[in-house]
Amino acid sequence: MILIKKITPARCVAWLVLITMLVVTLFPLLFVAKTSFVPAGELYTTSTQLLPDNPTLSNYKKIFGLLSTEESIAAGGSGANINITTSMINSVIFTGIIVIVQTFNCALAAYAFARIPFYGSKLLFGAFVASMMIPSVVTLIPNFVLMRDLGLLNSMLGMVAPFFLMHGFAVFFLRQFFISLPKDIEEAAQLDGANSFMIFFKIALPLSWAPLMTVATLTTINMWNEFLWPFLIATDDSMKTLPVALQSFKSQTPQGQPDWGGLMAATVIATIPTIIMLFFFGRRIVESVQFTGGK
Amino acid sequence: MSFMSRKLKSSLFGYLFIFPALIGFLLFYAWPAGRAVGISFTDWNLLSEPYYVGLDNYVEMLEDDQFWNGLKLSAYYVLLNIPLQIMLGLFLAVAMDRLTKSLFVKAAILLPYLLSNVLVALVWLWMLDPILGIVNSLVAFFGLAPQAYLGDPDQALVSVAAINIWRHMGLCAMLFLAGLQTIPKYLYESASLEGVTEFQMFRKITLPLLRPVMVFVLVTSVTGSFQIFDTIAVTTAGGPLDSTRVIVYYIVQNAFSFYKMGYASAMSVTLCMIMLAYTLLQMHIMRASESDLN
Amino acid sequence: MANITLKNVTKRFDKLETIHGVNLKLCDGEFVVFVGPSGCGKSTLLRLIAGLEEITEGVIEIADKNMNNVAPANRGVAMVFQSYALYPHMSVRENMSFGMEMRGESKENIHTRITKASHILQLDELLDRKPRQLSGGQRQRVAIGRAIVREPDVFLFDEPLSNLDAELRVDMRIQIAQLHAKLKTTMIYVTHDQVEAMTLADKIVVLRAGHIEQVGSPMDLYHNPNNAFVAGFIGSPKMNFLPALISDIEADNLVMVAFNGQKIPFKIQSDKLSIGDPVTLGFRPEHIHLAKQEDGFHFDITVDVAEHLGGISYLYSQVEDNKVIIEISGENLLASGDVLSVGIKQSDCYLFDQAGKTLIDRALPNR
Ligand SMILES: Nc1ncnc2c1ncn2[C@@H]1O[C@H](COP(=O)(O)OP(=O)(O)OP(=O)(O)O)[C@@H](O)[C@H]1O
Ligand SMILES: [Mg+2]
Repeated sequence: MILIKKITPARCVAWLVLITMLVVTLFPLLFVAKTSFVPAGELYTTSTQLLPDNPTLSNYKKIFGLLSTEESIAAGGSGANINITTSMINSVIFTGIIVIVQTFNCALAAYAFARIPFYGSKLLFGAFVASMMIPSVVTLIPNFVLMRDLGLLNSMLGMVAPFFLMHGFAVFFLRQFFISLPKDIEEAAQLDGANSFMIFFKIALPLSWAPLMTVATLTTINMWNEFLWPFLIATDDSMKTLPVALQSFKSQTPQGQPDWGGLMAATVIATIPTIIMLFFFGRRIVESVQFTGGK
Repeated sequence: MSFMSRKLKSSLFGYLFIFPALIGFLLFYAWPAGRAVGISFTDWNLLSEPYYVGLDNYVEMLEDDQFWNGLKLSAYYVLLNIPLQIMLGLFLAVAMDRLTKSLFVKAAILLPYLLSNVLVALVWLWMLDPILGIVNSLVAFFGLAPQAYLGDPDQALVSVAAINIWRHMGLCAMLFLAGLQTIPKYLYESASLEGVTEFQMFRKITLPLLRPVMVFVLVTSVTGSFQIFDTIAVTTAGGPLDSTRVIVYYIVQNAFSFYKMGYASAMSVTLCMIMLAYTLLQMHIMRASESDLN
Repeated sequence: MANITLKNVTKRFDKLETIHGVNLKLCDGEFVVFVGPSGCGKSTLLRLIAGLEEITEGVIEIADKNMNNVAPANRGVAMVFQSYALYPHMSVRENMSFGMEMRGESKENIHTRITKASHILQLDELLDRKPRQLSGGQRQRVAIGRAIVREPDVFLFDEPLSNLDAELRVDMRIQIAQLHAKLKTTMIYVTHDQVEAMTLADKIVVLRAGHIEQVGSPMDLYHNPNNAFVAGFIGSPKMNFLPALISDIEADNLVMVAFNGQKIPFKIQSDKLSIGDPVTLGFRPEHIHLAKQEDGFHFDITVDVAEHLGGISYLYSQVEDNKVIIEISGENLLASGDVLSVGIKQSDCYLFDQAGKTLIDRALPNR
């Protein structure tokens, strides 16, 4: 059904606001994209233009290590290096491990809290939820010391350690869902001779794809963007995730000033995975984010 | 099996189920939280043995102007950040609720939130660059004097707040939009039959029914903003002239630049108490503001 | 032999006791129906037998074995849930085979049992569908099929037909009766539809607030309710109750009951009554005649509402603040406002004391 809506002043103002906001949101990103194609010498002359005069790929070649140090300095580089491919791969591994393992662990725990009566369950669930309230900076120092003592600095295990076993919100959210599943389906399975593990794997999990994906999506967003912990653990270039690599690329300025072209090219590259995800899973992402406030 | 009571047997299963998460909880939340308190009573530079100093760190903290300044800046940052972010988010949500269901618009609005703080900081570092940045070009276009933004002690924190408003506005809008869509349309229909104006509807129907989402957004964004770190690490590193040395930045600096683990822990434990007090207060208010729907 | 014995079975949820020391003996092959008002503990009792709830006190025996610590799956019971509780992500075939796979039955065995069950229940066409592709009645049959393939000693049904529309209910009711005739397995069936109870049961267990009020065959309960509650619960429409008085006590427990200025003798089973005691007179809507009966009570009523269903009519009226429903078979033209003189035979009357306990022992009709 198509409704032809009345054009009122209020609607015009609303459209104006919306379009302005869209421009404010998207313009900086487009501007960054433009800058990434601007040759080193023309940054100032083209600073107010929407398109570069002489588009070049040298900034991209630089950050992918296709130019030697001399060539790259000549192309306006700072002489600093960013292993954008390596850090992209690190980010994918880092995020991937955490999302898969954490979601699975949290689903297991959430199911137990929802359905299996056990001694101490109320107390432990309360403690899990309370863990959400601890500012990450509190556990940061002891966790860092632990990783150092275990020799896990600069290792993937050290990077994922505080995240991949448990997350209070995921347990809380999934427990809500498991509680809402019709109980008699699980009781039917119990009468059919399934034990708790079989009921979880054969009945509860297959019925939980939507909430599991919601949790996984939210964790993906958070972990893809996580900065402080990997920043402390991954001091070696080969271990850095994207945000960490970008930050150190930005702060290394042997030539005295940042390599804006390279930095903006790296920014564009780092944005691309997000745009691709948004393109394929836009609805899921939007709805997942909305879910956090809905409960 | 028949020897074991059922509760015992299901307890066995229960603990098997929560085992990995429980290990994670104990190892990375409970124990470190306790250990942080322990470290806060010591003098420790990570290299030598920790040295018990009792409450010295807390005493030092109370006398440390930088600590108070950090708290003040964080609080100031929250005040700069939250009201505007919520207002813009609400504005956007209402506009989107009325005008379009387009997924593209939603995705575009949400995009900044999906980018990391570091990335967003870099984007704006470029945009706000005093010489090369487009913002100053626009300012000049309107005949105003160019500004230093992140380089100016008076503007740095405001600029950081603006950057974060840009990143979180879409998130707020999405959360409010979800809230708006739970409000039954018949409420508006019956109100418009009674000749209520749009603005009155917003005030008398929309806002009150949006209260639970509002409280949620408030709690999460206030506690989150109070702990601002990433953007400052990338853009200003606490400068210029300590004008952005917010509390978490100061704590991390003490721990990992000055290696004053004991002192940093004392501050972080204090921060935790402040956040806890705030959250409990908010939960108290939240309980008083359960949804009026259903 | 799957006879079931409950000894002093008690269930508490936290502090709240919902089943109070129930004793019950069910014989092998019986069709037993639990009835009672909502919240009286029918489902809880059934779930205690299934093992889905743990009993707080007492003993449950199935086939003379103590089941208190036996897992639900090992009790030899199969349950059909009110919501059907089919596994939504599995096909009909998978729904039926799941339990057998859990038990490690052989492939051929699973196949033959499913074939047999689907044949009995006419599910052959539906085996590869998912539950959401089935109608309510079909889902119900699958749920029953899933129970059948387990070849249990006892079937447990918890209001299995309450989600179906009226016509389908009758259909399924008959199918379940046929199934019982064929399998001859013990079945326990929970319902609050007393037509289902009357038509299906060999034995009805009437529950109220966690107590058993009466156990007996449907006709037993209809003719000889222990108390006013059972009398009111069995039979549809509900029995009418009017206040009366003991006006005289004669020898051999013979009393005169006074109602509406008439006195009629009843042989009662109590010697605790004295003259002037109030009693409750009960009579079923279908036993009211539109004419004065010799040897019986009669009184005048004004029709408030008349419902004509074709072959049968219901007249609703009020006698001194007590609702009275009258059932008349055959067509008639009675309407609201009509004043009628009605009569009840003495042998159709029920009599209860102040506490609701029955006072007379009514003979079952002979065949
Ligand atoms: N898990 C439980 N925890 C606490 N109380 C319960 C629980 N299950 C049932 N009860 C209580 O036990 C009583 C009996 O409930 P039950 O479900 O057996 O009633 P029912 O006779 O089946 O009613 P209905 O006809 O409505 O299905 C009710 O008062 C109910 O509130
Ligand atoms: Mg029930």
